[in-house]
Amino acid sequence: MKTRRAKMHALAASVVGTLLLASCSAGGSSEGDGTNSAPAGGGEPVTLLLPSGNFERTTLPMLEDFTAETGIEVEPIAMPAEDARSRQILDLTSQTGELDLILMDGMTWLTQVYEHLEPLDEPAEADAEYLRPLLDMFTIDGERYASPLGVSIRPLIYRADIFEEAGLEPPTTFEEFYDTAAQLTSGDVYGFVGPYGRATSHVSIWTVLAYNNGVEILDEAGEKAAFNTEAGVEALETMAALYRDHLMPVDSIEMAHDGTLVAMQEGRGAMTILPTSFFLSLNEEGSGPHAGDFRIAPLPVGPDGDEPQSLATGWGFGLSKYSENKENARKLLAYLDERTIDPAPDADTEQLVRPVSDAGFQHPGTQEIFPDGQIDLLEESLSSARTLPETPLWDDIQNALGEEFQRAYLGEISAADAIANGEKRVNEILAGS
Amino acid sequence: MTDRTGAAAPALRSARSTPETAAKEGPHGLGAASANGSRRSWWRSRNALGYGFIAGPLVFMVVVLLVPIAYNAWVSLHDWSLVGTTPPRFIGLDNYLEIVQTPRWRGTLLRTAVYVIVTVSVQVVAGFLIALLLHQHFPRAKVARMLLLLPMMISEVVVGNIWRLLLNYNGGLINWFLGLFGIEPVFWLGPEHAFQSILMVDIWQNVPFVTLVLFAALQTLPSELLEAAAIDGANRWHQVRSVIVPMIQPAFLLVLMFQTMFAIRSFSTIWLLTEGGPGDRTSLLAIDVFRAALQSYDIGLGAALSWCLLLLSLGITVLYIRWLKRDPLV
Repeated sequence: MKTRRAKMHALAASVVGTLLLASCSAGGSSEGDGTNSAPAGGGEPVTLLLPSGNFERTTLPMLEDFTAETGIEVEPIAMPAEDARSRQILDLTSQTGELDLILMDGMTWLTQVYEHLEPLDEPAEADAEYLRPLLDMFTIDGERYASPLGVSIRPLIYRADIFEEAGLEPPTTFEEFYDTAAQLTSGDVYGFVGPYGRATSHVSIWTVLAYNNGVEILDEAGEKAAFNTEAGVEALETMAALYRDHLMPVDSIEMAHDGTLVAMQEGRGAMTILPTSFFLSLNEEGSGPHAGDFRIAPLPVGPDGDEPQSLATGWGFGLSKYSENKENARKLLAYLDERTIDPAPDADTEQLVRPVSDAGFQHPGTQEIFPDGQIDLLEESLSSARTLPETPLWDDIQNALGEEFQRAYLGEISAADAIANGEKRVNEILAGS
Repeated sequence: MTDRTGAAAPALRSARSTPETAAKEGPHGLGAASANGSRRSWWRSRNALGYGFIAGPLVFMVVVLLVPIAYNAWVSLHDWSLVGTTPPRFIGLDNYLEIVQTPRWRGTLLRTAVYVIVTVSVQVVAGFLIALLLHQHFPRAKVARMLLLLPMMISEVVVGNIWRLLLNYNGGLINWFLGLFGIEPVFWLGPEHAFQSILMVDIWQNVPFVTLVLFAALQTLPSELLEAAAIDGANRWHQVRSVIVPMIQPAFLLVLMFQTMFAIRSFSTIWLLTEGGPGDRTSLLAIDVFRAALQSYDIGLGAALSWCLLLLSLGITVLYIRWLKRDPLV
């Protein structure tokens, strides 16, 4: 009988153990179900994700200040941008409400998730202070879903010392762009370095070059590709010729933004096209042997283009429709608005490199980052900036174009074929939706 | 004194008998004793307690494994995007047809097959040769064994980052080393060599596992067999071919099965090295599952691709197990 009782105990222990194991595996879901212990005085903590890196470093101090001033706790979770994006999309589509604030990267992310977000109160007092195109970036069908926290454009970044030595000016046309790169390529220094390894980077460059050659990526209704034109091919051919003709380092084909940045810091390139948020990392003292030599210029314009245009991308926080902590989350949004519009005198340079308001442009720190009138160029570019096409399918489109374009860079197919293949695939993606 | 297990029991059992069973049992309740005996034997023969023990874990496995797998199969029959406003639409086997009919996906399947065949073959051959070497007695053999197992102990993420630095075109250690001999730098992760590079890294990381298993199998071989073979005039090659290999065949099958499954699912290291590029030159099935489901948010297609992955693994595993069962030594 004792043995039997012992067996029964063992069986009971096994069942309890299994139940415990099961509850452990399901433990993650309790995080956002409103059972978090509330911090003293501030109510529920506000949860949000941050992309690791510069943006995280800029935002964390502001979140800490917010907690110190209001007593409302904030729980930021830092992770690589792509992971943050997936996690947010899964959180919103499964409507867990685990995240109160949703981080968005300009148009691309917003178009994918806006139906899960609360529109912000309009017209907010702060809106008058922001540059209008930057607000438009976070507006869909007249509803604004986020405030711009930091916005970058992709200008031409060049080494002033090399240009000066060669007696050249930054190129203003596609043709000059190629010729300048050819003239400046010598030994270990290449005329151009570009992030041709990641679709998000090089398709964005092509997009803005296409804009600068009078090309629209999609038709007005956003239902068909509109880029298969001579001008669209010309924009891609300009990029492909640089790689094909060895005016770029051979490993550009595997570079993302960080690889391009390092190549420029090491002095392997005379020109590049990178978001302005990377400009600081190029020019900051100690960042490399050529720190201080980098300048920005407008992107070259194609024969069918008119004025140089820029492509704005940036970050902003939206409010999840499923948040159970909306009041605190709104308070945090208002606080971030305030801090972004009017940066503190001792604001971090990482924040100042992405100004979004007049006060930001006037800040001495910002002026120092963009000396010699370059701040005016930046402000002008931002004021007339365009965005990526407004479609939730941009990721798919971008990946499809990225694959075809890489084949053109490698010389496997012509630029015209890459554009034609791209058009076919983009139309299939749009038709499938 | 009443026997607690025996004497009082018939009375209790009789009290529980229904009129029907009582009629069958007869006036002396003999049938009751027999029924009780059969229940007891059922309990014993079926190892009900054992079933009780595994019931919990079984339910757990069903909930965390089978239900998601079945749900994944259901998702794979839909045109289902996580982004946008279009609701999921049932499309039957269209996702699977797309995978088979689209050259891009067919390319991925072919590339994955080549990757699996090459890596597993080289790993098993190299692992066996190293195991044979380690089986010999030589000074510092233990240190050598430990060092050889090192790659297996490093996490895939670290391996990916280490090799990315080693293979870097500009300033990578391997190109620097080649430069010492006047050899031009090689673009290891470029279009021409990227696939070979990921093969090399996978082989480097997984050979130690094969070595470990085969070395353990070699240790179990009775030395008398080899001695007898040597007396019979078998040279080293004959000993390996006719004695060692047949004797450790189950271990070979085990590593073949595991390595094949690992190779089919390869993701982290390749993602860190090339992200499937340049173009789609190093894009394998697991990479495409990730791209479809978590980059393009097309979870219908992602689920279908992941089912292909599962079916491939399952098919190969079944083949190996059948092969294993046919082996008279198993």
